[in-house]
Parts: sequence; C-alpha cells; structure tokens
Amino acid sequence: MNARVPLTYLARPAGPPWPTGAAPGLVAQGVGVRVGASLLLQDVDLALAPGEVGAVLGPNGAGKSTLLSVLAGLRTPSTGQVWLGGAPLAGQDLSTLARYRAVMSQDTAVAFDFTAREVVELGRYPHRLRPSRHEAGIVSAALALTDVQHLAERPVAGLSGGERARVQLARVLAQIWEWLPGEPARWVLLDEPTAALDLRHQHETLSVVREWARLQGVGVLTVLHDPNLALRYADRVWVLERGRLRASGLPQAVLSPELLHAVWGVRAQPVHDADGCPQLLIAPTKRSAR
Amino acid sequence: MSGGATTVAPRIGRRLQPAGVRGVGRVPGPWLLGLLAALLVGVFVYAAGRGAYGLPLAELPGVLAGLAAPAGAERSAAELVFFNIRLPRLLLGLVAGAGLGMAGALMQGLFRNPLADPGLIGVSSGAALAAGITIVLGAAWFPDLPRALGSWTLVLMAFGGGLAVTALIYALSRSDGGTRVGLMLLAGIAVNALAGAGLGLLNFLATDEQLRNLQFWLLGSLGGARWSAVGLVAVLTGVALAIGWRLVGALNALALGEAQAVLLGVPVERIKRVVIVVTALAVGAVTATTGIIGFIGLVAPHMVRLLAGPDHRWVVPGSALLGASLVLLADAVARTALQPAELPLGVLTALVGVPFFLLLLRGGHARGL
Repeated sequence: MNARVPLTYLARPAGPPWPTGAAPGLVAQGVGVRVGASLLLQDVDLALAPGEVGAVLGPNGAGKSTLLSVLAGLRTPSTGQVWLGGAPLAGQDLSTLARYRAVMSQDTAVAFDFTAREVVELGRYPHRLRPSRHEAGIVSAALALTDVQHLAERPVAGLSGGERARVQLARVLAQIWEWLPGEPARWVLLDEPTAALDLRHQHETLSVVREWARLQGVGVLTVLHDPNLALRYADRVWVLERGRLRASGLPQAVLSPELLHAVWGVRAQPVHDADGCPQLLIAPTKRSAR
Repeated sequence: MSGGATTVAPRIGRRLQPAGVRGVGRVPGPWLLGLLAALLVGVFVYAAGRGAYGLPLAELPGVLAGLAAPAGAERSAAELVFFNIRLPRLLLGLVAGAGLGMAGALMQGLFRNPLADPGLIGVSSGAALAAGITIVLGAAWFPDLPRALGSWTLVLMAFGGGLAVTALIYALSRSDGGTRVGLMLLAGIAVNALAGAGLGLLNFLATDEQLRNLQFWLLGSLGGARWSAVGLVAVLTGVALAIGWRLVGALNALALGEAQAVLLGVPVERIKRVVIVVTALAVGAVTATTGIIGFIGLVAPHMVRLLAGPDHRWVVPGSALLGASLVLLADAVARTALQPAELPLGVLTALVGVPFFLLLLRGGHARGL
C-alpha cells in the first residue's frame, strides 16, 4: 500500500511572520536512484511543509541516506524530481541554497585540530559575513543550544562520537540561525542525528529541532532508527524498505505493530506513556531471539 | 553542608584542570604572522651579510645607499657583489621559500592531510625528469633547442615537464566529472615512481659530467640566480599567493569533508582545479630555477599549524613567511659552512628545518597532536 500524501500547507506558526500565500515545501516525486545495475531508490514520493518535522525510517540499507542526499541536492536522482521552496532543486545554486538549507551527515569527522567553536563558525560560511560580535554570539548560542559550550575550545578530533555529533548539530543550526522577512523558508536535513547520542541528548536534540519547526517555521527532515522517537517528535513519517516507499503518513497511523513486524521483523506492542504519547514496546520475534 | 559541597565541587574541578584538557594553547593568528614577518626581515638581513664575500652588517646601509645612486656612477666592489650576486640570490630564496611554503599549505588543505606536500601532484618529479632528459639526452634528442632558448633551456624544459606530469596526474584522477582526491594521491605515487625510474635510467646513461650536473641540479641550489629568473618566480609566486589567499575560507570548510563542503556552498571541484594549477605553476617555477628544494612544503604549514591552529587564514600566509625564512637561513648556511664551496640547498633545508620541527612537535605533543 502506497499512500500518496498531498502537500498540506500549515497555518502560519507562531513566531516570526511567515510570507502570506502558499509556503512551498520540500517535494519529491517519483525519485529513483540507479547505480550500475542496482536500484538504491525506486519511485519515492515525499512532501514536507515548512514548520513540520518529518522522519524517514527503515531497516539498514533501505535507502534512507540515499534519499536524504537526493533531497539535499548532493545527488541527482536517475528518475523523478525534487522541488525545494517551489523551484526545482536541480536548477538551484548550491551556495545560495546553503544559506537556508543545512544538512547534517552521518560522518562527523573533521580534519586537523579545529576546535568545536571553529567548526560551528564554519557553519556561518555560506553567509560570508565579516567576523563580528553578532556572529560570535550566534556561534556561542548554537553551542549552548546543543549543550557543548563547555567543549568550545577543545579540538573536535578529541571528542567522543556523541559530543562530535552535537557539535555538528550546532554547526547546522548556526548555518540557518537567522531569518529575515522576504527570505525563503529554512530547512534542516539530519541523517541519523541521534545515532551516537546518549538517551537524554537524543530527546534534547529532537525537541530542539521540533521547537525550531514549531516556533520558527523551519522544515525538518530527519532519518531515525527508533520508531519511538518518531512517534514522539515527528509530524509525518515515511518508511522505506529496500529502496521503495512502504508507507507514509501520520506516525501513529503508519508505525503499527503490523508494519514493524513486516518491515523490521520485530514484535511491537502499542503503549501510552505518562503524558499520553503513543509509544511501542519492541521485542524480538521468537525466530530472531536465540 | 553536603548540598554546598556538591554545588561547589564541579566548579573547583573545572578550574583545576590542566590547560591541555581545558583548551588548546595557541598563538593568536595575527600575532604569529607579525612574528614570522619580523623573523623573515631578520633572517634576510642576516643572510645578506653572510657569504664567501663577507658583508658586515654595518656596511649594508652604505651599500644600499650606493645602489640608489644613478646608473652611471662608480660602484664599489661591495655594491657590485651585492647587486649582481647576493641580492638576486636572496630574493630568489625568499620567493622560492614563500612559494613552496604556501603550496604546501594549499596541498595539505586540499588533501585534508598534514602529510601532503606539493610533490604529490608530480610537479617536482616531472621537473626533475625533464631536467634529466635535457642534461643527459639533450644533445642527442634536441640539439637545436639550446640555440633557440639559450640559457633558459633547462629552466623552461623543467617547468614544462613539471606542468606536463601534473596534467597527467590530474587527468588520471578524474572520475564522474570530478576529481577524486584519493585517486590523485595514488596516481601521484605511481607517476612519481615512474619518474624516479626514468631518472634512474638517465643516471645509468649519463656521462660522468652529465651525472654530476644532474645530481647537483636535483639537490637544489640558489646559485644560478639571475634577475630574470627572480622575476619569473616572483611573478608566479605572487599570483599564487594572491589566489591562495582567496581560498582560505573554502579550505577551512573543506576540513568538514568534501560532501559537507559542497553542502555549505563551496565550489569544491573548482577549488581543486585552482589549487592544483596554482601549485603546479608556483612550485614548477621554483623547481625549474632552483632544482628540488625538499621539506619546506611539508614542514612550514605543519609548524604554523602547531603554533596557531589549523585556520587557513593564518596557515597559508604563515607558511609563505616561514618557508621564505627557512630557505634563506638554509642558503646562508649553504654558502658559508664550507667556504668557498657551496653545499647543496636541498640537503640543508632538511638539516635546518628538522630541529625546528622536532622542537615544535615536542611542544605540540602536550596539546594532543
């Protein structure tokens, strides 16, 4: 079953005034990626509006990172097309795009011994502004937002994987920190941002990006492994399996025990936690449990 | 009491942490550039006075004043030596060192690896091979060339050889419309090995005199400094420096990885092309006029990074300044250590550079190198 999701336009979120009229979003239609003889992605549709948090889930090798790199403009799809902000992604100039579209990749390594502060400063590169107190303030605020301000003067190469991931997230947020009226909507694409993070920071990271989506109208698309995080933080979910879109829609509707069993091969039991958020208790099937 | 202890303790703990854990100890970039510029001036003045024809420092202002006099006036022996021999040699050393240092910084930024040096793209080995062919096989293969190019024969052949081999390595590393840095590294290693084999063959075929000429060319020297050669290298190095300065922001962003740099809006393929062309031109010109001066391109950027951190805003100009100082110092020693004979410069750049480098490495070790 392949639910086609119509593009919905949210009401203007509270916070900075949003341009009136349609706020075109991130749209992918029929996207396919072929490398040699193998099809990494086949006929994937996706539509996300600014102010929404979207999550892409799937087993390993399903094509989630490939999809993200297509949506980021890093990779041209073999079939299909991607639109960002109303215009086709293929025609857009990457250096202009970088001013309102930030991507965090899975690989967080940095060459040489740049400090965390310097890495976050690199996030301001697309804006090419002169060093100033204002710019330094943005960098400090980004470091504080992802709870790495105490690591600011340390070389990133010496940090743990989770700390590096938070520094990269600060860099990504610093990249799109400001919005002025008239500028296009901002986007954040995250490839497994929670992979290396501890429990508390997994939640803090996703709640920060969700807050940015709600209050500042930033469109967030993140690849996640944990369906519970998607249930708690995402507005929309896409499930990929072997390069194809298996299901999409509201997290509560899509992430059912049946789907988890079919796609991931695990048993799931729906529960509700203390604040009413639906979650899933996941257990291995009798076959996979040794 | 226990409540008070738990709130106070973390703050005390942070204050007691040694500097190496709390942060990196670095010299602020602009300060380091100022220091290196002062060092260069000092080394230049020192090297001006040293040599087989000793020019004591006290006499130097007088010599310079005499040079300012109109062309027809009488020149003292000191002024003649200084203007025709010493000054072009010093200036060639300065621009050669600056070019090599800066090219090393650009290469290390491009390859994102502190072990990279300009030789990786084959410009030195190509120049060496072309020089070898000119010296050993020139008479047999192209006897008419020296008549056409005169004393520029060797320089132009070496320059052309350096550019040709770089173009070959660049072509070999192209894939899917871009260049893969990993491929370039491997192609560079392979082609360098081939050039080395070619040089070995030329050593085998050479007469005694040709062999000696070739070996001394390979070891590097500022001895053949003429104003025309100085001008060539100065122009190309100056252009390279101007272009290299514009790339510093992009090179910083490249440290995040090529994909991330593209996502930050850095035109990565264009930067790669520019860095390779600029390096080939600058290092090609230097190698063609001075032979192979090793170690500077590898070590100067490394030393600047150890002192001021990896920001290319400091590393690129700092490497140029430090490279120039190192070459001038090595050349001063080359001229005076075994007077009146001259030691080969390539030997001395390592001998002078290594102690500096090791000193800094020992200090840098505490900063988690």
